[in-house]
Amino acid sequence: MKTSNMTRRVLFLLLALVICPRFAPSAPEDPLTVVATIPDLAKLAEEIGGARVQVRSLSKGTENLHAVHVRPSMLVSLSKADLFLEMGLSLEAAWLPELLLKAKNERIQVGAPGFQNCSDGWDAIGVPAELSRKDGDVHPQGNPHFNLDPLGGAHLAERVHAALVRVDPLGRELYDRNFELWKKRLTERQKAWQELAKQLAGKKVAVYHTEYDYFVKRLDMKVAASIEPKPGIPPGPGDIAEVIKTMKAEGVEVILTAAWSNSRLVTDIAAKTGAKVVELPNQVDGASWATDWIALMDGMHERLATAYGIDFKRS
Amino acid sequence: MHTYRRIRPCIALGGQRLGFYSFAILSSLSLATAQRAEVASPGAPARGGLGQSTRFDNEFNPAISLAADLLFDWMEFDGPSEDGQNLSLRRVDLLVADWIDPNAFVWATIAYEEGELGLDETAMEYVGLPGNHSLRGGRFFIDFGKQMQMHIEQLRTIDRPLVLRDYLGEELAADGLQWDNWFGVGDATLVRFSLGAFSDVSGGGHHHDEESDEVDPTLQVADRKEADDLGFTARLTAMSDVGENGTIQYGTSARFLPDFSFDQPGTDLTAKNQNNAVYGLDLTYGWVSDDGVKRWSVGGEALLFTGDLSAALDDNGTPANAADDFIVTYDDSVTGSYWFVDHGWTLNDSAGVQYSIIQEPEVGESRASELDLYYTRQLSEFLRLRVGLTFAELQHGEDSVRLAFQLTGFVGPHGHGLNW
Repeated sequence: MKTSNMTRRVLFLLLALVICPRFAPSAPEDPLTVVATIPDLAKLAEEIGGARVQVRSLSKGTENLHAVHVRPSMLVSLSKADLFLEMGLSLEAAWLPELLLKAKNERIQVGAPGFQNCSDGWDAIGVPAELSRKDGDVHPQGNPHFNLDPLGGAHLAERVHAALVRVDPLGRELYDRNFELWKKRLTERQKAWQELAKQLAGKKVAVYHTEYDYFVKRLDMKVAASIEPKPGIPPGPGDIAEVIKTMKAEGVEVILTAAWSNSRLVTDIAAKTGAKVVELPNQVDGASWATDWIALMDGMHERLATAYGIDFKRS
Repeated sequence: MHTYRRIRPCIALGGQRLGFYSFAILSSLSLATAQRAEVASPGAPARGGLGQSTRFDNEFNPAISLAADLLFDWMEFDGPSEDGQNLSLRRVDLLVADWIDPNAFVWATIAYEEGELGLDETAMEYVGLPGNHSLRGGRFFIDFGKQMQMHIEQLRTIDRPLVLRDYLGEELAADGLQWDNWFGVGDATLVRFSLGAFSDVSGGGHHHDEESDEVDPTLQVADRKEADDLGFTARLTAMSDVGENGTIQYGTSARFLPDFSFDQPGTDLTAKNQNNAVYGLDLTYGWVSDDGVKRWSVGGEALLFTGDLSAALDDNGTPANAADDFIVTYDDSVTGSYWFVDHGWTLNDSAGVQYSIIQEPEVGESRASELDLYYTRQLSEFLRLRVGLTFAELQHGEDSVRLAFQLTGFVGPHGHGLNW
């Protein structure tokens, strides 16, 4: 029986409906939901992930990471995350584990593909020889503030890149391209940092807390005194007197402190020793100029250089 | 025996050798089965091994931690009670916790308090249910309001607010089951609810006249009861981000005690078929500065305690004749509340004021109130010193003033889960 014109049109229409979607541009996928504990990791995820990711940082760049203000939105974010990035080395131990437990998101639990401990493979300093609270608020696996090491950013970026590729292999081409661009930016600035390091080598600083130890060590400088007698332990009058004595004896010119610890005590010690107080952020977004990790490092180098009267230009 | 019976037909058929081999094979199979588990005597329940470890290994040990709470206080009474000071080890908590398997964890709190050692909490929580549901069973603190879930060393003040102590108890741990669930609303709000059923959720929440030499009837809950006579709790709460720095929480709670009796100790006198309930509304707002250093918290809870609240022994006008005594119960509704403001200005220093007022659950209008002023200094993350000044006013009782110093130390991973 011959097929009528109407039937042919209907058949053609049906065929078109079947075939055309295969050639039509595919609808954009939902972006990967990435949750990071600190802005450094969040910004790296944004820079490498590009349009394929939607990122949230749980902490603000200005917060003391040992006492992050836990809020309802954090639990909601974690419950929806496809990828979770943490610094590790117990940096987030005071507030994160219970959130991960309650979020009940199987994709991001420890050991799942969507969980990334960014300290994996990092050679930590300050690993305690023995574990005891008589040594203060020590981190069992070592100093966790390696985001402030001039070499730390590359390590973090590698971990973030690897995690993104693992969770979203379809985005590999974009992630590889963005990671290479980021590394190129980093290499350009590292030259300036290395030049400054040659001029700062051997100089001594005082710190309030151990968060700048990596930064100081990488610049070949020395922490001559710590205002906290032990990590997390507020100083008493005897500790303060000892710090002042040491700073004078060692010719310490600079006190490094974060915003959360830049108190009248630090100002008083500076006045008594003639040292300059240099307030540095301890994370991305910790200052208006610390908009990403490379800018954070640039700004930290610049402020230290200025304190010693050394000429240094940020990018 | 069973094996022997099976063999007999083989032997009867003339297959003696076959029967012997059958016996040998069957015997060796049963021996192999017994050796898969730890060796057990005949008839003892079979149990799996110790999970790739022996009885003497330290691997897979639970987390153990300790909290110790010392109190030194001085009290002055506006009445016949003796003024003076006291120094006490108020409380020690030994907490043991660990995962049983990927879906369940267990914790136990052994507490020393006021000279007595006891089991405060032992419960298992099963988190293998779909979604955000979880099920908790055992002995644990009830989920009511903002503070009844907390151990005393976790509080903002030295003692729990007056209204909670009086209507619910100093601490209220009960044996039961609780179902919890939470879900997000939008990006910045989460809603949580729980429903609990308990064998006895009376706690210490009835007023006892400490000045009187008389012994009041005591609240008793039957060991065995109908399902709808179990004690119940319910809580619904929501928390939201407020701007970049604030959090608000609001909630409602209920505790039902549907069936109990008041029994007069030393007699057969009893008043059965009693019931009461406590309802609560809570509201808390917290604000933290960008650097996390400065903090403000304000909030409070309002409670309604209703039903058969307390009982007394009535001597029927004949004190010498105990035979005609009877128990009189007070069916009433009373209200109470507490409100606080707390401010932290460094990471280590905070201070606040808390006011609590109650209608006392006894006959007649009677009020009591407490005003607490307190300062807290974190000597380190794990050592805390608190100074508190409390003014207590009792309409029927002695007013008092107390100055107290509390020193609390924590050793190990001493945590009680998400505080929400």
